Amino acid sequence: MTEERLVNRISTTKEVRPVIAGWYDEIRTAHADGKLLAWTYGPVPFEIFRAMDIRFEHLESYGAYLAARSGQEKLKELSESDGYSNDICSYARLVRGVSMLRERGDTSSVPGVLLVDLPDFVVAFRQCPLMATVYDYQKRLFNVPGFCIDTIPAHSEADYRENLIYIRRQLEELIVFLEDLTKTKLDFDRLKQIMAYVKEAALVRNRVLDLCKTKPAPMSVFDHFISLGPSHSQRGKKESVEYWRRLEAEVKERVDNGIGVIKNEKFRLYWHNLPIWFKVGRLSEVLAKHGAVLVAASYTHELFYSHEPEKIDPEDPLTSLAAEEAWQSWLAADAIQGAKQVQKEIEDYSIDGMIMCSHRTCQPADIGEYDIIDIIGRRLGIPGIVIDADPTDPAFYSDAQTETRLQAFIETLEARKRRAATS
Amino acid sequence: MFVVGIDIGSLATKAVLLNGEKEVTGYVVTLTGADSNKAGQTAIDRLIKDAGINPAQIAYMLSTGYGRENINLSNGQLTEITCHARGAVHIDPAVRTVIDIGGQDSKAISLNDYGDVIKFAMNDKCAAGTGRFLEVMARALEIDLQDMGELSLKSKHRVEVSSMCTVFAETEVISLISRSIDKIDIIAAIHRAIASRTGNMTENVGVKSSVMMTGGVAKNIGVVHALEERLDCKILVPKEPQIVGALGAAMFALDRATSADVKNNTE
Repeated sequence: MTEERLVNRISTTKEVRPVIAGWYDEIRTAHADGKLLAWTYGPVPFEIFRAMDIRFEHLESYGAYLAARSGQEKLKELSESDGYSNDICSYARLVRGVSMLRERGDTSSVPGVLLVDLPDFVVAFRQCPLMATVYDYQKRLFNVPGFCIDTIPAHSEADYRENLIYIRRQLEELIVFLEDLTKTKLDFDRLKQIMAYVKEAALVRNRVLDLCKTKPAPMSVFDHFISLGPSHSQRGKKESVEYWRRLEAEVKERVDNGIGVIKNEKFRLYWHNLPIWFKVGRLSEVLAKHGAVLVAASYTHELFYSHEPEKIDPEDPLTSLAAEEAWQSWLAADAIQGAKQVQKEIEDYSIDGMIMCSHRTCQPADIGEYDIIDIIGRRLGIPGIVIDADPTDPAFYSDAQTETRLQAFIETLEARKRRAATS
Repeated sequence: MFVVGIDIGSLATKAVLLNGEKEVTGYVVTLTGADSNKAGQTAIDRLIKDAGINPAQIAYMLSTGYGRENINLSNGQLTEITCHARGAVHIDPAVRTVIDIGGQDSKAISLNDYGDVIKFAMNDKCAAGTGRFLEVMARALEIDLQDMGELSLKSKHRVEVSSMCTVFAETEVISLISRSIDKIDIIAAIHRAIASRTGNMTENVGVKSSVMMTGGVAKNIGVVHALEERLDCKILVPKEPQIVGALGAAMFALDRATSADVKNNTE
């Protein structure tokens, strides 16, 4: 690895670590503070929990948080001893390790700061079949109430509309479920305020994404990955809006002064699928070494309310929440719709190539990678490469193999560029 | 003027010496071992000694392979995908598909009419279907690795080795031996299993004639035949398939040595 940093990271992202630490402090002290604690699986509507003062752990975010810290190997070993195969979702394995330590009352094997309490109830969104299975299992295991939001694997605009109505109806049922548990009524005005902040943060965030269409790119997708921390933990809070405003100001200043996130931008790339959480820093440097920068990604540019945030209606929060979930279901189920989004981003961000990240233990997210490469190749002549990895498990990742593929891919882009210049 | 291309693979290190007329004036193949820098240095020392030249006559040295960044003498480096493609096209300009099976990895490369790489695929982290896989199978069968190719051509009865996990396949082979299945038929089955896996990867990038196979495993005629059968096409094998990556690296080294900005070209 090069000693000198090649990536000029956005300094606002330095705020993220303490924000995340604060979020986990809140989760850890939930019971001490007399609050209910939910464990959640998949993209469930956090906004409703927030409006009802329910603290919540989110399995994927928690898995990513644990993956970046020492102690994760112990958690995976524990889950394996409980019968979780290595091929099962690595997020779920880490969090199962946590619950086993909690059941045993063992807080010495892994730093206590990593361990959240066992849940009072569980909530899932059935977009990922495995996540829904983990939900079913843990609901029985912890012997707690649970609610699973079902979804239709959409393949058309009509499916999406139908799904939206279906999900909205279930959100109403979820509220009844939560009101029974908390013995309090949901304050709809509070939920509307939360949705207003969600909308505002999403609009600012999309302006930041737009600024990254500039050449050279002022910010990379790696900075976006890190910024998903506040988007998640502070969703629906004023602080989230303020974070994105500070970030927007910094990015705008870079654009005004022609400052790029890397020095010598030669290639602009697209990243498909989840990040490799334990390699974000290294991969940004590896790409920078070859003059490549990630300017758009499915994870940052297609989710978290980035799709038409102007349509969020705080006065009708349930429809807006259902619309986001139905949109995520559509993208996850339909490679053709996925390819349409990728095409839009390739055109908007002047992208030269696609990196499709195939995650070993996240198969539901892997469907359609080769289809998308074929579709985009035929429509736009833009090439793609598939790399093998995992969101949190280093056992399924090799630096040498991945970096060789990325370098070879960039070499093919260089050859294309040279050929285009001479012919 | 001379240039060197050096391909430091996981099992073997290959170095090629090229003169200014693009002629191979020497090559070396040696084991990489644990220290790739040392292996590279040893290969280059031998190359220079055998050719009877002065190290100062080497204008540029370009490294490739997994150890490409670990060799101190290198002036620049490129991946083995780009170098194998270049080497193959130098040997036969009609090549449009390259299948390379090395010690611990395999790759399929598709080229355009200019010889540029347009698409490639590599095996994942597992070493199934590579040189190491064949080594393990030869050990299980108690035969010499280099005899496998010729022996498999004599196979009369079709048996199957279905697993491509090296460990599971070894178990399967032992099970076939215990059932008194002829070793020759087992070897042929192993070759078909490799051809199946590599063939799928090659079809993923697209099979266009001419197809050339490179890397140490190309010396195994049984694998080559099984691949020809799997892909339903003729496969060319160069005289020394193991050095094609190093040859390509040497070609790039020559480009750089003869370009005006050679001094700045040290990425």
